[in-house]
Amino acid sequence: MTRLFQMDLYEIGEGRVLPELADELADTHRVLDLWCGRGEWVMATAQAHPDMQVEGIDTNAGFIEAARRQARLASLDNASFRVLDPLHASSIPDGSFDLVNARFVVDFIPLDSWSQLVREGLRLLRPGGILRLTEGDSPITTSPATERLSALLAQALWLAQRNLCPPTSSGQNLLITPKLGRSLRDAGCLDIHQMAFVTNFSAGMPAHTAVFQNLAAVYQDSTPFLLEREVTTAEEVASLQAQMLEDAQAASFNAVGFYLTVEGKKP
Amino acid sequence: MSSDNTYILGHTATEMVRLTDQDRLITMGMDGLVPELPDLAGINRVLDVACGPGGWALDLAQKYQHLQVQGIDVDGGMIDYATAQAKAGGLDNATFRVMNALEPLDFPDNTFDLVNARFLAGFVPRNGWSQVIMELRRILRPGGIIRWTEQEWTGTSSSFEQVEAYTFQAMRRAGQLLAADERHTGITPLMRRFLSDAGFINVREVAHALDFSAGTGVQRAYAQDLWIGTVLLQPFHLALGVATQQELDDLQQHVQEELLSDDFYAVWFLLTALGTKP
Repeated sequence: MTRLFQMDLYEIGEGRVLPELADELADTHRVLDLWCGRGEWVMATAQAHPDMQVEGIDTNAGFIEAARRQARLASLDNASFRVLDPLHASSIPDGSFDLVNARFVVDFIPLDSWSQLVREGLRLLRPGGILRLTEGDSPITTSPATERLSALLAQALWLAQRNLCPPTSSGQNLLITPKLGRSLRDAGCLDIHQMAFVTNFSAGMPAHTAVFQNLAAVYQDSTPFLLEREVTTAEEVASLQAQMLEDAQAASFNAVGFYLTVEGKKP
Repeated sequence: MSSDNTYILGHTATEMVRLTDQDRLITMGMDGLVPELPDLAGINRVLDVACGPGGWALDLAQKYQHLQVQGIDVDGGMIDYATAQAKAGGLDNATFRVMNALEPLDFPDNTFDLVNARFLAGFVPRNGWSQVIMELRRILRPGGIIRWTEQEWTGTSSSFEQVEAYTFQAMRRAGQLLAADERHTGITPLMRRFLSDAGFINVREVAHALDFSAGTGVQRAYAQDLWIGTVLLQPFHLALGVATQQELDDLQQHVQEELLSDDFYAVWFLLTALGTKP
């Protein structure tokens, strides 16, 4: 399992978090990030909003240790982290948070547990609190090797039934974003909003390095998964990865990634 | 179809109706006609490129009566319809002319304050983009803005994905596909590049997501748009030899069932790129 493409890494690096919240910010003090990883989002949010208490939880103890170290180095007193499985967070009392965030987590959650994630997120929120989910599909690039890797990963995830959508599709595309809104509607959330974002990480763009490095790491980490699902050979995947890195160096490399944030309020 | 009409959905009355409905759906989904420029400050003369039956141009002329809105399209039937609509609605600030966006346009330099273009990928050949964009730049005044929108579709209908795959294969054979493979048109990663290369400045990109999954209230309207589009693409698929009539007819049946199913999920991402002529 690996975290899929984090299309918002550049935005986070620039401190642009929660861009859509304006009026609600005044009532948002206690924030929880599920599968916080090394804490990039938690720290950016704590930095941008010193009045908030921002907590991150993740199952990976190494990530939590790294996040704590970073927060100490940055002297962020309002960011905290603990090792906890977001799907089994019963040690956190009901209604503890004003906002619960989860971004690019689809690959940590089996398809049939997604509604459990939404339920658990809602349990942790006070009434009127906001559940905020962000996911993306595969980015779209002008590099044939990158596109081939995206198609292979989509196919392998589809075979493993790890898309967010039921496996009715052809497996050509990732199909993560289409069901986000529905998952909040089904859970009875109020005031559901969807916001689309795009990151352009073409050669020469400020987001190029951060987003492309993440993309390359995702494909590196998913090699065993691609082989296990027998969608490719070790030779092909090695050659595609080398070609992808070369393509991205070219001045003519162009790429965009769309992602979707869906928010709903707890009744 | 006139020989210089490279539009892959061809020329029919059905397409005219479909595009009229689609204009409304997109304006509703984008939350406005020009949501990125809410006050339209400094804008008087507007061109809509490949305007089809004129839905966007007519709505803009209606809403902002101080604007002079010009629509152009290669298809004379669309232009006649748009012109009749403008007359019927008493809109003397909306005019329409037959003009092919792939050729030099019959407007002087520096004519327009805003040039709007949506879904050009359905007719521009893969090597024709820079010429098209340069021509739009020529007719904008310095300080004028180009607003250009293309799309990417993602949804759970495998039949519609197959229709798209046929379309992309046919586009490749017709020299109209930019993408490296047959999963996308390939235009969205290149829009910013095309605008920058044509000398536009302050280039920015804005995304919108139109959700027409089951349970959203707009599922049926979008399903109709996509289903009719699928029927109208058949001659293009057949002409380029990517599928047989029998295969397309079988697929057609499934497309309708899947798009209307209670288990259907889809998001249509629109990318709007904006740039200013220096």
